[in-house]
Amino acid sequence: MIPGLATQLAPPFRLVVTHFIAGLLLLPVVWALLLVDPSPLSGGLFGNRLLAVVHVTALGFIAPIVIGALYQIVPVVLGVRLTSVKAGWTALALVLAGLAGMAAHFWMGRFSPGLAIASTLAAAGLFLAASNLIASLRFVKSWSFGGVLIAVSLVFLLAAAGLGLALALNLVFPYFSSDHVSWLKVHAHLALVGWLGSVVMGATHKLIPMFTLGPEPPSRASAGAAALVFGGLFLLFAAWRGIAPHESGSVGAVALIAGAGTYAALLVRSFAKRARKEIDTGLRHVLAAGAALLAACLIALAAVLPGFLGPLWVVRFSLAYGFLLFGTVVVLIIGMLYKILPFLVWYHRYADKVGLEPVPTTRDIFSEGTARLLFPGHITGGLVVLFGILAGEPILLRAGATILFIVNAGTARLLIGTISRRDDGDS
Amino acid sequence: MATVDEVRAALRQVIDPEIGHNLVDLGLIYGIDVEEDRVGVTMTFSTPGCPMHDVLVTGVERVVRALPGVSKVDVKVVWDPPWHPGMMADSVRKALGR
Repeated sequence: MIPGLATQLAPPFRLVVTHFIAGLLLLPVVWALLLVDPSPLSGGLFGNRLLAVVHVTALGFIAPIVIGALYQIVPVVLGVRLTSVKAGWTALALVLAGLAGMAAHFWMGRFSPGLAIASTLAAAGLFLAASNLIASLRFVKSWSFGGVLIAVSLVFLLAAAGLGLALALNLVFPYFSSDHVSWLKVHAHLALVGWLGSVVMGATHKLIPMFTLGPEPPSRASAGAAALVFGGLFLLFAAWRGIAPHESGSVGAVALIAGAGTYAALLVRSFAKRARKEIDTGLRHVLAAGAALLAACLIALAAVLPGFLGPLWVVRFSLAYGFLLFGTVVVLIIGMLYKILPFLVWYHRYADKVGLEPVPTTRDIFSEGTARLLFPGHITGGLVVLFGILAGEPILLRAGATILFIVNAGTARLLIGTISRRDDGDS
Repeated sequence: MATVDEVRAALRQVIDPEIGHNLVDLGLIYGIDVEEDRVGVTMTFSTPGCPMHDVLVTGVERVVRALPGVSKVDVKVVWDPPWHPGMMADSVRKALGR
């Protein structure tokens, strides 16, 4: 690969930004649902409405944006073309159509054959997206740490989607009812830690140094941290499934947290050596995501320590843990979008004009001021929801959901406005 | 025939859109070589795999070719020595908060 020329291999701008727009429009829906009924975050674990909220977040916001970003990042980082643009469009349509059906069935608590059809559509979309990217990876000539982690993430995505489909079918046509909850925990962690953890590590390893003009974290130490995360994850799975002793789950949790902490420390060290000292709003989101991850780890440790919490607090801490884990990913994605999306728009509109006429910079086409205004809203709304979960208080949950609905709608408007910005002479 | 100073001045028109500074002040231009109507530019990027690579190389070719007396431009991208922040002009370092 000739470094950098990979941008020419990127798929059509429209494919990538349509994924981003879909995700940005669906994030406020999560908060609208919780405004209507905050009980999913104040009741028990794995209730049907919690499943609806979680899947709108995961399949409505996270999946389209992460998959859209991978369509762009894989050519840039690994120097290969996306195998099929048409498959990319089809996968998005399948995931969104499947999500609509799944969310409606979960919300209404109707585990009818319609849920099986919707889940099959969503899983087929995820299989298609992952297979499309994996087929592209066959042609990679030089693997970097980031590239390997992206490949690993796709395997986790296939596993999470496959198990998710099996679980959804199990709700409609029960065939492993006694094991459903432990498999549900495995499914959630395959997606949140396996898939998204790999994507986050793979992408930040390259992008954070690129945006801050800092050194890349050392690949060998980063690989060690990733191995700890995945090793810990599989120990947790073994404990949940009864393959390993119950205590090995605690060892797995500690290993997972140690791996995540080690990787975070490597990133922080790289960040400290950056040439660009200014911390813009995008990077503030990345730092906030790091804080949310740290809080999630501490809460998880408290929840798994035997006898540390009573049954009510175990449930509330588990909900808070899930919220913080999702919050980490959501805030990180928004921060990265603030960095990546203006660049994509700039590239699409102005790359051909460089050297021929004066062109704006990425800062000229993106309102950093608006992003800066929205940032405290993300943090405040998140904290209010977190306290609402811990207190089991619907009023706090509604207040936090209201703040986050407004802030996320503002984020969507800001970023979609950046995409659709028109200049004089723009065709 | 263009002079090295004229080529350098032309290269200041090429701005890294993400950082907002020109390639010369960012310390990305390692060498300029003028031989009659041919200009050679040796440059680097802040990181291998920089997504701006192709755009900025094309920008360099365009602004140099636009100079009077230049008909051929050779842009060579090198990674040794690797770029580091100490190569930036003081004005850029100050602007970036170093």
